[in-house]
Amino acid sequence: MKNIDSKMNVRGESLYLDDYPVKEGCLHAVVYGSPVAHGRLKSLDLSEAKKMPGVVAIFTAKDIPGENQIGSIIPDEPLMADEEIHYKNMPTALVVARSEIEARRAIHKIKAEIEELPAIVCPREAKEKKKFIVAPRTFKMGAPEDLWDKCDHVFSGTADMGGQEHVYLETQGSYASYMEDGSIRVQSGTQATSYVQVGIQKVLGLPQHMIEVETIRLGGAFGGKEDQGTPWACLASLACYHLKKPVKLVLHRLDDMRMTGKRHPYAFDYKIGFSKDHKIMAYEVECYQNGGASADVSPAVMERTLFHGGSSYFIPNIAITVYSCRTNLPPNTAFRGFGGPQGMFVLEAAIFKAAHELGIDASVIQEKNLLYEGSNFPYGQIAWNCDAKKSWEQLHQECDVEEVRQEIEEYNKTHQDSKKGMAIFPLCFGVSFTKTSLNQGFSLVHIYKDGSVSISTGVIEMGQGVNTKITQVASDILSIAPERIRIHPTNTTRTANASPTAASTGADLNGKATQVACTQIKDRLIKLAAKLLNIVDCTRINLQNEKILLDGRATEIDWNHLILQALEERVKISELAHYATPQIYFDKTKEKGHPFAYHVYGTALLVSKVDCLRGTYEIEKAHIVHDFGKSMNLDVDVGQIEGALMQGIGLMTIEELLYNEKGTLVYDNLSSYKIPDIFCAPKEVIVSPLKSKPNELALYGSKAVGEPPLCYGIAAYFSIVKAMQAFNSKMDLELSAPITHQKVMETIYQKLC
Amino acid sequence: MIRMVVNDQLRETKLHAATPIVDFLRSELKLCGTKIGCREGDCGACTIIAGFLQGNKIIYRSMASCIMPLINGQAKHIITIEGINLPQKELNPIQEAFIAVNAVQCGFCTPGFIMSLTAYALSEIEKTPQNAINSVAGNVCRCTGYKSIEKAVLQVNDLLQEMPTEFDAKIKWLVSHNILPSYFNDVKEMLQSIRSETSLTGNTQATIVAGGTDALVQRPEELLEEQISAIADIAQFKGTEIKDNKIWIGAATTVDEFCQNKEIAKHIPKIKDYLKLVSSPQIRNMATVAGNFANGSPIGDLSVMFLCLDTTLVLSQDGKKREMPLKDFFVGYKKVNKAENELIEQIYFPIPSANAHFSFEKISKRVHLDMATVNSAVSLKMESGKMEDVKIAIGGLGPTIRNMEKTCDFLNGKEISDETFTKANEIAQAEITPRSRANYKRLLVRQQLFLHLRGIAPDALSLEVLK
Repeated sequence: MKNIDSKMNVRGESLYLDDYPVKEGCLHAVVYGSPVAHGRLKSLDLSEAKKMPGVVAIFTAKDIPGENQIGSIIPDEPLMADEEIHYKNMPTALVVARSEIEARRAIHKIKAEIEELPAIVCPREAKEKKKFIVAPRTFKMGAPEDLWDKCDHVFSGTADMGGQEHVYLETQGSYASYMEDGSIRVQSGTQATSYVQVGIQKVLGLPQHMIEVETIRLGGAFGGKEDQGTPWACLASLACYHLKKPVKLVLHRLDDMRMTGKRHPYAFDYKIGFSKDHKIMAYEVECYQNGGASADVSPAVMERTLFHGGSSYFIPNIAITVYSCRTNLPPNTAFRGFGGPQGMFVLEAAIFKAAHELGIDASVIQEKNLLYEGSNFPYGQIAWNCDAKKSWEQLHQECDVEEVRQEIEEYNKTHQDSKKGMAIFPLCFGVSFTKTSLNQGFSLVHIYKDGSVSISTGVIEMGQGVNTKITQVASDILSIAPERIRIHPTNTTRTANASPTAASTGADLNGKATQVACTQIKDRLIKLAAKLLNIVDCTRINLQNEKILLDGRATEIDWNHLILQALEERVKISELAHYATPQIYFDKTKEKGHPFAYHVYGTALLVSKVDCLRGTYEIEKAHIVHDFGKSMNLDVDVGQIEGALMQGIGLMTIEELLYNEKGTLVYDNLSSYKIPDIFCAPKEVIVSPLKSKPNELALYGSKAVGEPPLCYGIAAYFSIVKAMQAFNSKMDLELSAPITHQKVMETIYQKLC
Repeated sequence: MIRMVVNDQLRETKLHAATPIVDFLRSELKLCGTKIGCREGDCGACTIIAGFLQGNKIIYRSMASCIMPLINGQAKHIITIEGINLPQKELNPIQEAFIAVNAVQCGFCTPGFIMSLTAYALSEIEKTPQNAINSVAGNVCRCTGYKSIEKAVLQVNDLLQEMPTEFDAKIKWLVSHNILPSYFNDVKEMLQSIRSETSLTGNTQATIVAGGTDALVQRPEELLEEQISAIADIAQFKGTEIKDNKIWIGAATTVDEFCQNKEIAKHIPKIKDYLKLVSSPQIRNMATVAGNFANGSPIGDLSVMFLCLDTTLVLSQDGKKREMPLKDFFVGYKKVNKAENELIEQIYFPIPSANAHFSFEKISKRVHLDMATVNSAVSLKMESGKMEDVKIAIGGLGPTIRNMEKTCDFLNGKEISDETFTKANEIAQAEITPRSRANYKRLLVRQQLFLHLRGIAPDALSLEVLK
């Protein structure tokens, strides 16, 4: 089934936040961000700005009637800077004017007197100064510290992985309206309507029922609108609350890039030990997460780094420690993969370095140490239905890896200007929110008199096709045409306390809740049909293609008739269902448990070609064997793989997130921060479903697909490094992602210039 | 009052001439299918098509509406996604192709892609798979990873193979194949009814705006408070011609018009490849060659190319003209040697001789459509195996682009050899003082010098000189 939004999308008729028709008299807000990264705000002179044409009001922290606080995990994030400034472009004032351009002009007239303090931008420095967002945490299995003497080979080193700007094509925004009873209705570009609702509740001091939050769809989010949709909704609501007028706040791309957090950059120190036969005996890693100025979701991201620090390998003695470091950058936040890619990258870097020192290919180590059925994860869960080896083997069957390797060797022998390299990456990604309580979903299903169906869930559609999957579920269970079903915008009045659409769980949680709701309605309809047909045994009745079947044969009762009868007979044809993932738990005091409903496996092989005269590269091929479980929609799911792969390649190659020592984002617009364009796409991409079993905790056995495939991008990094080594075998092996054109050039010629 | 045909209707507006046309479309006309992604012409979400009458046909081009000044829509046919939608929620074959191969996810970039492809269909560009892909090069998508988009684009390209090339026949074909709605048959007439001759305003205080692609990025707010003197559509400033053994380019000649010129292609055969590195189709269709100079960027790709083509500018103000070699034009970071309201009226350079070589190199963070870290151009003549008239222009190494005079002096009269390269590189390295990322830039200068020389004499240089 094709994405249900796609017809409207290709006609440009889908509404995004900035497209909603606004009410007459709508005002426009623009945020004034602090000019320095760290300092004390002495005074704020708004007098000239207030005199600017069109300006209606300027709000600061002092105008907040409730709490100046929006931190969702830890209350450490003011909505607006009050006394202290924690990062550059921290929202400090909100200008509201009749038009956006007038508000923007007034912004330039605001004068802030600030006592500047030194900024910390590097997580290692923050760690030295013990500036932590939360206390460090360690996941441990066995005793690596006792093993180093027993290992035949021990290697240690450092690695770095840069952050990443989301570049959702639709920037952040919100539109708040003042309602008759003093309640606020907010349309928000958020992945988490309930986070926005709670944020506004705190800031305005209103009860949550006075705040209605709605989201139709997002023009991309990738995690960037999980926690960070909230400030803009709070600011728009603050202005709306005071002025009793509709207020729209849509961030200009420059403001969006400068004000919002990104994927967390990490620095690592690792130590890895091997037996003679290349088994990993022990692994220790310290990860320094650059959390930015406040917690945001950093503690949860840190957790996923801990969970994925062992990647797809069984390592009997392992200790993973993460320091969530507080720096003077915008609060870093969720981004597809959510700390997982970072934890995986450093282990791959350690393996790569070891393989290099041992004179073998990294794949030898990778293959020897893959997780196997029944092996333990460092956090206590056991790998059941473990397909790590299976996906590795299927890749090797589908794609003659040895032949690819030889072709590359041959190419490298015969070409001097350019070199090719190949890398394999085995994936294991846990699905569920690591915070167990978030693993619940709601679905409200109504059937109307004419037989049409309306569904509201807590999930946000952002292009990932979740509403398509939910339509499939309802259409399948009720056995009606998809055209009869409409998925409504996500709204807090229909689904309260919804978990954010995140952790790849949107379809599982909300789809399963829809499954429950539809099944309950269906059961009642079948009972009704049995009554209408004077049948006692309900199992003889079924719904199929909008017909009521008795013993498999169509009766005269069709869907429309049945629904009319249901109303006549006072049968409930609405349902609010709740789904909570069973079996999962996690004990933080022991750092052990069973946090994930299931794991997603896969193996990717990437081939790169480096132009050794220019330091540029292209990805020639990506062959991926991916564990979909049993995909309920390959149209949607393959699209997720291809998109995530490209985003992962961008992360590992050209996307350079850089802050200077003053905490200023250096590449702060789309002309200087470059995301992959069509020419960056791998020349060939093969996505092949792993022959695996459907998982019962996945919706229709179809495993979550949002985040895991992003990690395949890690192979791009190592394939490029392999190609570089083919050009200069003596180059230093500094494992630092992304591998920008600059790094390629400087590394392959480093001994020479 | 600015008048234009937007989709199937004649529209008038009193908005300021420098208003980004996307704001007119979205805010005033409520045509919200055109999206705003970056407001600097870098994402393609705001792509529209602009058509202008030329003789008996309409020339249609994709444009970035977020940096297109409203005034440049004057008397044009402006097409938004709403303007190509068929009635009754039907889908046209381009839209169908996107759905068929799942090239749509969040949908925010989608109208832009569809408009770029529609512009490709409407254009005279030869319908090859590569040209089709190139037509969407200025559109970024963060969801799909492009493989599905590639498929959709190639499907559409296949579909266009049967399309006639003559304008009226083409429009008829597109309408009959449901790629365009039927009102397209009547657009020419509508445009003729609002045809207007524009000429330079006498207002010497007005800010000169050509394509607007720099001005609307750099100072959009200020422009709205200034008087605008738009030159993009003034006939006398348009076009490229050969005269007195020189190639003359008018002030309003766009980069696209320049590189489509057959004469240029004859002398710089790889110009289209070079420009693919420089800017997107949308920007090439709007930006002018002269504008690239006027911007005074230290990494202007075209400025680097033209600097080593021995280019001269004809500047004019209040009817007074003066000439200036391009090399004297760049005086500081984004500072150029002209009065504020002085117009670069024409550009000329001598036709390169038959034994001339020209090459351009650029390294940036992303290979295509990115700002250069270092860019360079070389032109020279080979006379009995020796280099003559060597010119090397380079950008990214200081406040302005510049000539590498000492290196050129050294290379004149030399054969291309390892020894020549090694010495030339030493001189070049002494001649430059890169400030940021200095080691990297020095390395790039060496590599580019090597690439330029090796491009002329592929067998004369060995890789050993780089070790």
